[in-house]
Amino acid sequence: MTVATMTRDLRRPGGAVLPTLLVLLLLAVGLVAGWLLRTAAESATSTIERGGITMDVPAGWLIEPASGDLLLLATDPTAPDSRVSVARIPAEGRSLADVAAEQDQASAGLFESYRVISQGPVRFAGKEGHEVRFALVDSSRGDPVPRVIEGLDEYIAAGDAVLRISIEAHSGELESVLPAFYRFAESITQRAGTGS
Amino acid sequence: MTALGGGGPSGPCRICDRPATRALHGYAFCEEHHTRALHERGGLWRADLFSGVALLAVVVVAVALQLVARPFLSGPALAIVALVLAVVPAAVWLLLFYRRDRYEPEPRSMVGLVFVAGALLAQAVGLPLVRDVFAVARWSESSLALQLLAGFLIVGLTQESLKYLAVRFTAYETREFDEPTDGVIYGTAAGLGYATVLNIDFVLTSGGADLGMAAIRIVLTALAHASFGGLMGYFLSGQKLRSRPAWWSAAGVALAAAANALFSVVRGSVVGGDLALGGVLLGPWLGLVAAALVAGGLTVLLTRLIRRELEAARSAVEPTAVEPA
Repeated sequence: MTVATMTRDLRRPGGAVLPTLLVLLLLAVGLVAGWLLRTAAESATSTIERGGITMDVPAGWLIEPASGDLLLLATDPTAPDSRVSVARIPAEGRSLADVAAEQDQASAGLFESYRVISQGPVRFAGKEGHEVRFALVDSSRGDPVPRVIEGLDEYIAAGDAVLRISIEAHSGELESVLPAFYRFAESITQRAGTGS
Repeated sequence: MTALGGGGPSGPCRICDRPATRALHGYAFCEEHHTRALHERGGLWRADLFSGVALLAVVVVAVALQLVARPFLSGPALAIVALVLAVVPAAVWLLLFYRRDRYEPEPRSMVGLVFVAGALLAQAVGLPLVRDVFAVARWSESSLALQLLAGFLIVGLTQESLKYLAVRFTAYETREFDEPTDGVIYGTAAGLGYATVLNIDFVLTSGGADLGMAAIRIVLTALAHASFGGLMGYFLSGQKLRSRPAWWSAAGVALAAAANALFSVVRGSVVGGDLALGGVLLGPWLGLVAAALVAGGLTVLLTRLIRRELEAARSAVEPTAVEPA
């Protein structure tokens, strides 16, 4: 260090603590506001009705055309491999477990790699339900490495039918998209007078 | 040594410690460094040209590699590619900004320390906070307003505050931080350190997909973070050297965070779009061009600020002859 530098009046930063505290305060305010923003964004929904079933769909989801038993098909754009669907399946006097078993069999017919990881009765959205966790290998996209898809089917009774509320996502992403899925699934209600 | 010429500073040259023969802006210089300080270095434009060619070469090599080999990268190969792609543009941008500090180039070790501090804070705090704790990408994409707000409140303020801290607790307290341009240089170094970590993370998480597009994005991201850091550093200089009010640094961080959010939104949202003309998908390129305009505009602004400070210093004190000891 030179003499010239040493002797220069540098205005020592004695008052530098307050500016730093203000920067940290600004950051803290920003993060708190950001957290509130996140909470608001994640809870923002639009209510739609399909076949007597109302559901609160998160604002960011992309709704795709659905037909037949399928009431809703949607994609979360932040997790493009994820897909949420709601289907109404005629119960015809069968139990939820029986309907689930039939659906699993159909899926196994469509996807050779389809495997049920776990299943059993659950309490879902205040109702008796049946839950199936599954996985399959999706090699239909032409990727160099086939994708492992994991999913969850929730079956609940809706009048004389059964609703299958499903989510599937790229392996490793399922856990992160489940909170939004559960909020959506628990919002599903049957409109009064549409039980049949 | 006795200063002549009515109060010219005495002592050795502030850069090389040889006997001073000239004074400028209150500093003592030898003949060689006085000439360098007064005038643009002869090779500056050639060096800038070289920097441009080097950056272009990085992009061209990456595009060629993608087109010819279409490499499927993983493991150590992916890590090496990520490191090279992230570090080379950062080093080139750092040199480009560093050369503009003509009066008193900052010690390279200090610039390097600030760079490393920026990178460490990014890795230890910035990335985990933005990506894991707030998971911004997962919920902020649904509208432009939400992207801007999240980009400012969470991403921008976090990143720019950390760059501020990287400078504040390294170079700021030292006597080397003694000119308005120093804040820009150190802020730029902190920004490039931060950008290097972001870019390495980007290549690793994308699995090295589309190296050509990744290289362009990396070059732009490095420039953008250098500019944001430089802008923040300019305010930091004002805080230390010009006795600005206590909120001055926070205002600089907020301004840099706003520019950060604008850049991220322009690059992110347009890249994600499906804009097509004549069947050709233009989305990614349009996004990169728009992002380049934002980053380039800020860089031009910073360059002008640096030039203005240098010219102000040049005109503040007329060169004064001093007699060597």
